[in-house]
Amino acid sequence: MRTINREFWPDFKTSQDNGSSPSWTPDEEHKVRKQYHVIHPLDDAPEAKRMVTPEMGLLKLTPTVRASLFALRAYLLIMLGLVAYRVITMAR
Amino acid sequence: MKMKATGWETLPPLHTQVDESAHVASVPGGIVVHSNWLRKLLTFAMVMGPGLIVMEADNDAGAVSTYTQAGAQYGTHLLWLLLLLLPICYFIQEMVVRLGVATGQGHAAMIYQRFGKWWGRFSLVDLLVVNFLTLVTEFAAISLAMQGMGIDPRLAVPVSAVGLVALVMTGSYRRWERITVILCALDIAWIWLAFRAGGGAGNVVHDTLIPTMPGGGIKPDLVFLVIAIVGTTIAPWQLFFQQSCVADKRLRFKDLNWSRLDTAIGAAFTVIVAGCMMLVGNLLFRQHIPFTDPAQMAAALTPTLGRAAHVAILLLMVNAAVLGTTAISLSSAWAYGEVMGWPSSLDLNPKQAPGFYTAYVAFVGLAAALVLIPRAPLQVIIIGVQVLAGVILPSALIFLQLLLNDHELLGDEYVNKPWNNVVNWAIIIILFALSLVLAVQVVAPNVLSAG
Repeated sequence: MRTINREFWPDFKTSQDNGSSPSWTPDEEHKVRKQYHVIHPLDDAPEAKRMVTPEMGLLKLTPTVRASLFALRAYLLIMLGLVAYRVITMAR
Repeated sequence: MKMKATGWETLPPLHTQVDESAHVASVPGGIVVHSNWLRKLLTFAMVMGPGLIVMEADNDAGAVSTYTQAGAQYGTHLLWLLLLLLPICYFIQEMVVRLGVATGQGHAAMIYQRFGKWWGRFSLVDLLVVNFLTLVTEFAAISLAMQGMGIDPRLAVPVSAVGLVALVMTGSYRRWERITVILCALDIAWIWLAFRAGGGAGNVVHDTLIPTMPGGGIKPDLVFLVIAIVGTTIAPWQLFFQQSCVADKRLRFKDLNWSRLDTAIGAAFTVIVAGCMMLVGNLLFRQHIPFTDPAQMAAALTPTLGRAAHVAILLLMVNAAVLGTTAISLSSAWAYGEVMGWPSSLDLNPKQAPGFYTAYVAFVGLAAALVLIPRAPLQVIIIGVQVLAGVILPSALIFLQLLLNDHELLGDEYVNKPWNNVVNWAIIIILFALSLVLAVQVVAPNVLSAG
């Protein structure tokens, strides 16, 4: 037997409602089951997310990935240097 | 620059699910509906926004120029490329949605926290520079379109800047989102213009579904236009924007599938609108009329499509620039605020989030001011945008890919599946190759042409 949440449906009355032991007929139960409460994300209670904790620290990388990121860093610095050179040349 | 200290220590430890029934019982407000399909429809209506906005804002002023030029130079021959880019756009942005929903944090903050200060600062500075240069091109487009309508740019640009600042200053995420979604919807007018322009339904369907090469074979101009289309359709700021937007909207774990649908619809709508821009350009291809920018194109189309179409194209160009400006400025302000540890939310008013709003106003104001400077080096800026975006996009995607394989942070539920990784690494490799070609072309223009 389900119980009624009177905070949300304060006016809901069951056939046997005497204010003490909520219970309802199958028809009434069907009616309650058909009610859906849709809440906008901004109005909803905040939910716990997956957070970076201090214990986690930086992402653990394999040596290959670390070497690739180092290569990427070099590539990006070289490319940005070339772009800067090109822009300065064009500006002249 | 300092590490974001608040939040980590005080927030609860890893936790994946929240009891939904507890939510319903404890949260006031909301809407009670009596049918399941209405519940789904309403939930989607509440969740949608970030996906549609990030995709449609990508059809900014530069995109209007690129797509219409593609149509004017190659007719409908490159429509298939847009169809190919649709799933790529979706796959990339879906990862961002997953990361945003799971962590509730922006992309800049995640890079800073998981890859350290060097990469955090590098990504942020790169993003801010390329975003600022893009903003300058957006205001240049506003100036150009307004001039086409007989409005002095010295009036049009400042008024646009003030309007763009007012749009975000209301202290309500929902208000900003609703207005921006309406602006996105205005792009439906491109479909009307494409119908007016014609082009043959059979021909359009054929060239969309079956890749064909324009007559004359693969030449450097075609290669760079293809790269420009790819670079226009997938931009670095989109990663930062959508993740911050998802975090700001506080999308829940249960909203993930709806947010994916929002992103898929946004991608489809954007590609349709982009195709329509190509079809409008295609009209001038058929008439053999060249043009250098969309404002010229609008004027050239007046004898064929009428005065209404002329004004519509100019207004759509302004709309594209406004959408691009608000999304790009926000991606900068969110990213900067996240790294600085400032309160950064559209749901806070300027007194509650002074740093975030100051950053937004500064980006918009400086870009608008630069456009008004006589003889500003706009050509250099446009080239800078192309190259910097091309350089940072693949590296930004690599970080995204690594973050989506972070089992320690995301657990098994939200990390990439093996097939995700195969698809995404393939996309990264292709984009890397394209960005390299573009960068080489810009830095040393004669190298590829000589071949």
